[in-house]
Amino acid sequence: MALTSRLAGIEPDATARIQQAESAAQEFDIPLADALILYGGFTPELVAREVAAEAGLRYTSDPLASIIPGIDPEAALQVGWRSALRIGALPLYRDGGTLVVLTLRARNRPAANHFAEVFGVDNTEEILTTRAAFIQTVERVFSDQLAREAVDLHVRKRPDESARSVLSRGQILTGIALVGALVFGTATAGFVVVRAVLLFSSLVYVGVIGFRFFASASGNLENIVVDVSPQEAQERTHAELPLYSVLLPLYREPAALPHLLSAIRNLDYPPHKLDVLILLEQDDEQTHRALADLPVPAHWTVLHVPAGYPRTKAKACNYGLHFARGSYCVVYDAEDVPDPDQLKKTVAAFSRTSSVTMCFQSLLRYTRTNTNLLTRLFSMEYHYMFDFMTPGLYAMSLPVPVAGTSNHFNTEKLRALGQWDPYNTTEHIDLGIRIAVESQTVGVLRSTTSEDANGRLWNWIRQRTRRLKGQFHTFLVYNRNPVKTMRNLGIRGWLGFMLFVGGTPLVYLIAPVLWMTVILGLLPQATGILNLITPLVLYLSLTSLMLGNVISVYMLMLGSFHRRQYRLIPYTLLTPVYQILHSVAAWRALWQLLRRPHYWDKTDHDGAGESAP
Amino acid sequence: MNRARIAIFPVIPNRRRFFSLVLILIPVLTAAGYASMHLGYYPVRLLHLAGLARIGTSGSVIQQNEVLPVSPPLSFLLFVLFRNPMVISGVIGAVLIGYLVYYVTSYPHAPLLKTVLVTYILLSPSMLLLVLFELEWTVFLMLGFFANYFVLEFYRQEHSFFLFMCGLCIGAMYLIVPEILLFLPFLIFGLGFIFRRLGRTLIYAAILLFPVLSAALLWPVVEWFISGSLLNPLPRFSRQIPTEYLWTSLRESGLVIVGYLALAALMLRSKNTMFRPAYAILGVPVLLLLNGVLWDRPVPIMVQIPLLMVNVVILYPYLDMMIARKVLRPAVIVLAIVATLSGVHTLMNPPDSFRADVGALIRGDGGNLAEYDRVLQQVGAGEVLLTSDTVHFASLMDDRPDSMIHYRRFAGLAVPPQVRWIIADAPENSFVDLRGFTERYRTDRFRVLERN
Repeated sequence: MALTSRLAGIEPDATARIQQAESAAQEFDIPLADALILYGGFTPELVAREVAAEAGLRYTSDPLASIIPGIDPEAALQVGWRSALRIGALPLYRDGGTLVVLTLRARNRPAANHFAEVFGVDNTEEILTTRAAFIQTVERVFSDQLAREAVDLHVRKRPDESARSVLSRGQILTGIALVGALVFGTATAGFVVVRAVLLFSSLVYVGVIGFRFFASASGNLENIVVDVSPQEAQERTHAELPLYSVLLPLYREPAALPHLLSAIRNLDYPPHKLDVLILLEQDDEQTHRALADLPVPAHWTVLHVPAGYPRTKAKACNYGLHFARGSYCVVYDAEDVPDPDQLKKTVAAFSRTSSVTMCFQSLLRYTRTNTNLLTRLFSMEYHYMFDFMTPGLYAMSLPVPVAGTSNHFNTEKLRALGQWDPYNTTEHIDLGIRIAVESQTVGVLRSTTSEDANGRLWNWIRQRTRRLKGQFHTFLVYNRNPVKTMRNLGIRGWLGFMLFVGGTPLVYLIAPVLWMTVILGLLPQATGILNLITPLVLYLSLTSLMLGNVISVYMLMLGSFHRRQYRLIPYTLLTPVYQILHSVAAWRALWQLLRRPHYWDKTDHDGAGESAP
Repeated sequence: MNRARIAIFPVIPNRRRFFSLVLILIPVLTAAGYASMHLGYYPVRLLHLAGLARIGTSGSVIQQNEVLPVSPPLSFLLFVLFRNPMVISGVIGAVLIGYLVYYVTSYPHAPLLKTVLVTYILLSPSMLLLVLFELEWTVFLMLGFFANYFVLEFYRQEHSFFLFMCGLCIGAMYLIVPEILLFLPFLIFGLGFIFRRLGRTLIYAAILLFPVLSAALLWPVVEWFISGSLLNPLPRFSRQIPTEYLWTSLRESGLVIVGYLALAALMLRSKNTMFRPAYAILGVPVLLLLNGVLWDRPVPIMVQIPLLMVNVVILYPYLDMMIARKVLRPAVIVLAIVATLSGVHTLMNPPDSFRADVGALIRGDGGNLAEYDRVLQQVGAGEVLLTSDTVHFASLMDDRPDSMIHYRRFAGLAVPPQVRWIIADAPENSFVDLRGFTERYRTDRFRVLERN
């Protein structure tokens, strides 16, 4: 009996759905079984069971319980997880001269051919299962290899650029020499060293802020953003659209889950071309439970990232990339709400730009910006970053750090680049540097992803700590061999990297030093110390602090003004306070870098924001 | 909105060539500066600032003096960092001249005009005059010209960054001449005239005024940290200003003011409302008048003409859209020729301010040097002279007696207790209020020696 007849017999009132699925299968040229799930609304279990029955095959809905105990691990390892995922079949054990395989599709000829080649068997006995169950089985059978690969691939490909270690031997020796010189200098020359340090700090402070301003002057979002009209986004037929993988790394996000799933469901992209991968940490019970209570579309895949060191978003994304089938892939965070046509626009953008563009960054828009002072400052900062700073880096042909979310990649190129560095807590900045090293580029797409602005102080500090720690770490990684980095990035690129990636956290470290100088100046008891510093050094320190703060305030004003958020402008006067918060995070980041370099200081999302659809 | 590529600064076609030109010009202009001193032309103001920098970095601070080591901050800071006025004017002059050259080359069409202007910028003695002798005022006014350019571009392209660059230019102008604060009401009025809507005008004014108000509020704080007292940021207002300053300033600036009014009239004739911001150039004569009145030293006409030329060069792309080419291009060429001739005239007949007695002192000519030696004989061991710095002043430079004044002979020190003598000099045509000056310093601590 035909599959559709079987289903009609089981669900008599499903005729319309069956017809819909048949039309979809014909129109999109996809297997009927897939169409029945994606467009007919049938459960994968029902369809797989009936397909198996129609083909006279065995079916299991739970391979882990029914089959795995008897699996021959050697057989599985001979094939490997990559091949298993590619052909949609996994060898289980030999039964005489027959190889018993778990398969996604009935009469899987490519699998049979592959196994004949590998095992030299002519007969295969297929046990059909659903995609979710198949993936789960692969995860279980190859858990060690998958976990290792998610962590080690980058280290293997780029050992010198891995953030697994913090300092290289050369850096440790240099650091010791520097500290020794400072101690010796202070012991012998006293306040001359203090003056020199203050002067250097002032120069760095005003220099980095000046560079940021100069970069902003060079860039204009309008010059670099790629515009794709809604009409152009809809031009391609479903057949012309490539398979697109959406990676959703989640950790302790039960509250944000409903809104995220809703936002992804709203994506305007053919279901049969969408490969959504929900990445949950294996031991994250609360998110597992929350997900179980939500209606997850059947064609989405839930993956279980093995617990183990390090526990970072980058590792989770690397793990997800093992299973990603799309020509393009994108990463979204728990609180993200992308524009529905973002994927289609990205496809159009990639087709328009040169082959050196390997990534498109969508614009980020922060919502709930008026919740409190912190959200206002946060959103002003990002207005400026996205409208001026990032375009400026782009315009000056400097390495562009991609954002941590809403970045769309050419999947093959991402894999060739070594994926994400699982040890880096700002894996996106590291990726931006590597993209520049490979002479690839990052484009900016005019399509928005909304995120909630972080409104809780301690939450914000933890988030910023993690980012600054990652920036420090990235700075150290690419300065293990500065000559090589300079050669790879060019002198201008290297300088831009030093000033932006290294200079940004450095400014926040230096700011308290300069502020302390100001406070000392206010204390009558400190006159003696100030005289040792000398009025000239004090003058230059004060000037740097004042100038740096005025420029910083003005830059945030610029961002808000440009977006016509005039009500935010008065709050820019509190930029020095915001900078002090950054300084707290920077010193905390430095401490964490030395003690817990790979610790992922999790940001909590309450999932109740405006950005939720 | 103009969706074409938006350039914050007019595009420099070839950056390598620009930097190459600047690198060539730096030693040329520096050498020209030294050569001019040997020929008897002295950048009085720059030497004065170098002296202040020396005072400021000697470890002590002048108190109760209108000329503070920390003011004007931008000028002073440069000299604290680099000391040598010839090098400073060489570097800054090279950047300004180099940029103007490439700005002109970005004009569309008009090869003859571009050739004339580039030749003028590179070879005219007037430009040399501006960068070597009036560097501070040149930088100040060029910031003003660019502020105007940015307002124009903001109006035309509606891109926020231009408005902010204008604000920064005005803020930087304050750090050279604090009296620019007087100009702010004019600025706000001008904004209202340009944008015509109150809400917009107020927001734009807030953006534009932020840097200058920040500077005006924060700089006294820096001064207080350094000098220990919150000093008047506008010291020139703390005394009476004689009316003859106003008439002299008008007299000096008259011709140039006529030139600006003629330019404004031509622009008004075009009735092109798109270029309303260009009318901001009318602020320049106001600035010139203010300077003459407040700074006791009107900008000489031979300096104002090349400054007008620079302003026209910067505004040319907009003027080209407003005024008929058959009128504008010949007018600009004629102005370039007049400016060149004025520069040549200045070189051949330098004003007193360029060839002051201090020049003779530096070269070690007779006359005044002998007189100063007589004064020195009355000065006791360890006592030092403080000379009137509004007319002649001690320039503190490197201790190279072959070219500069030796520090110990003519220097004023930053340490008030060591200053005993005030030499008050007032040649006939100076604007020094000699009586006021001597009264200010005639205390138990000082002895004033008046010279005519």
